[in-house]
Amino acid sequence: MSAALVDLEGLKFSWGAKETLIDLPRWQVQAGEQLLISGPSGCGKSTLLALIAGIMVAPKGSVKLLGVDLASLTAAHRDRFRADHIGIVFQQFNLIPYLSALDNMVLACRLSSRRSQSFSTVNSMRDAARKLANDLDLDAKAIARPVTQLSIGQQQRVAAVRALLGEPELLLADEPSSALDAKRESQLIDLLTRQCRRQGTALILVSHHQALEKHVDRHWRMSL
Amino acid sequence: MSSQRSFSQTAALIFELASKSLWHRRIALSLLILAMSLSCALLFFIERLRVDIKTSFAQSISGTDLLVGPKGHPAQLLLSTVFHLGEPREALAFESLKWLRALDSVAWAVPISLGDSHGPYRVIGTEHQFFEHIRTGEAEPLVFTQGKAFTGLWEVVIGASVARQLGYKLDASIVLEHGLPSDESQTKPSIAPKSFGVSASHEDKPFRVVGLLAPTGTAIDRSLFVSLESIEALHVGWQAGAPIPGLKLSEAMVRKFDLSPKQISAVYIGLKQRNLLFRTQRQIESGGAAAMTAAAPGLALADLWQLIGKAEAGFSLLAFVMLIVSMLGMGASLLASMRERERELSLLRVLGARPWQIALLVVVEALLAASLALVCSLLSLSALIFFFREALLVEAGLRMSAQWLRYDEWPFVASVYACALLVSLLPALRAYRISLQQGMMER
Repeated sequence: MSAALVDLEGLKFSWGAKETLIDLPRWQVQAGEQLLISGPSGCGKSTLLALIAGIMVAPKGSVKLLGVDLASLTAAHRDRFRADHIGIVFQQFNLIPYLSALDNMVLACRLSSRRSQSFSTVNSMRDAARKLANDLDLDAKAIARPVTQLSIGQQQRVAAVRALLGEPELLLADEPSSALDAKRESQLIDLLTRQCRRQGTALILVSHHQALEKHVDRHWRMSL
Repeated sequence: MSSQRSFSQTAALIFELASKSLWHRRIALSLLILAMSLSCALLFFIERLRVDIKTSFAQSISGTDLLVGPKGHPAQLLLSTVFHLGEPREALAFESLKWLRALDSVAWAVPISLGDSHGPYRVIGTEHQFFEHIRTGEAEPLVFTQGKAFTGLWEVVIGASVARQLGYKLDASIVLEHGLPSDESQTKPSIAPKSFGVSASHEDKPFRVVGLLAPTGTAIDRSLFVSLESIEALHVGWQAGAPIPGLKLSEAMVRKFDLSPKQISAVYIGLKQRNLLFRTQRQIESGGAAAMTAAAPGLALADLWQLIGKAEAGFSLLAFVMLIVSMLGMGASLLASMRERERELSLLRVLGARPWQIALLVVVEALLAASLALVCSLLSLSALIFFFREALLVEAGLRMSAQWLRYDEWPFVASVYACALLVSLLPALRAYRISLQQGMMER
């Protein structure tokens, strides 16, 4: 059996002296798999994502990505690892306001030596970004505008392109479409899952909208 | 090398982010940049003024090796004769001039006589040779824009500032006053025969303008020149510095008097060889019938600058303090902006930027803002100097060159950057500490 992409073992996490928020003896995501994590507010979905991304480090248990235990890395290496292998889309504040949409899209790639290796110049990165934006239904006119003038749906798609560019192995999306109406949400998640499928990027989608399970392979309900 | 490539790529990215970030906040920053530009401009202006004044002073008397006057302090002699500041105390007998000319090391000696004025300007009695021997600026001779030197009585040559400010032309008729110049607040004199309204005027003896000098950037511009005989002629019928009441002498009658000069204020000397300077100086001060002081202009100026040194330092310090104040303003603005930029910087961290790169971003922003301020200030300062060069030369007697940056100003440029760097450290530290979670995870 091939090793899992994401492998959590004996993971326990709590915020301060409160009761344990996350308690997972064994939890895995396979390469290329698309997973929806749903649950009520406060159940720890975002915290789990943060732990998987290496944004936070759990005091107990191990978080392994591509076979690498994140706790064994130095902070610098963890940052680099995240930049190289993970794309992230947040619910809001995904974009740098003083950069154009195109510049936002290539930003993650430029900060990762692994992801930028597949491009000879920043301009070729930009071309790839334009193509990917097109696949995600963003036309050239839209991406030429300042990001502050884009609709939320467009902004989230820009963030998605950024997360996907350079083909990271894993994409984490924390309530990416919660600010959108049902129709646009469905469109966004559809585009996202299709592109991930095309690239072979695993997707962990966090949302309290359980209806999204129709877009993904697996649905895991997290409880309090 | 891939590490080299990624280093330059990261540097390029940081630079790009910094400049775009500044551009994004350009309206808010514009006032800050203006403040910094003004203080930079002031800093450079004060420094240039300081240097140019020194140079101007030194160039006022280029070509003259010694300045001889009655016994006194060399700096005081220099100030009163060359710069027309303060009174000449006593006088030298005219015979001293003959004695000085007879010294073997002396190539030429030109006498000057002070004591009369025309409004705020000094009248200088001298000989024809003044216009041949005296040099200013980069050892340039005096040039006539119109006319020529005086040849006889009642003829006057005027300096550029006098001509410009009083509107005198060739053949104009003017009246001179006895005593030192009244202050500038006096009303303009009208052309002859009216005077300034000063009590002791020579209104019965008007002078004719025979020559106008080109601007020199020295006190010469603010002077009028007549022959020594003319000075004597002015004071015929005067006793103890005032006219004898009721005594009116016509011009023709005046000519009958013995108009040979009796007293002079100082003598400009040119030596045959520069290295004879100290020997001649000693010779003059120890020999000769009267007690005399021979001042070497360069040394006397150096003494003068020592005196002024502290005031100079005070002005420079003031300019620096202003620079620091404006820089602190930028630092405060940067620090305040760290709050609202938490999300943006935290996002960069999540995307893979290291803490030192975020801190560097802030520092680069500060340095870029300082660069902009520097360029604006230097360009506008140089443009201003360029446009006002003529006016500065003629009105203030100051020669300023309009280079955009002088080679000895690099330390100031460096200090501007150093200031910017220092004020950016605290905001950069704040930025360094921004964590991955800040503003990202909704709690």
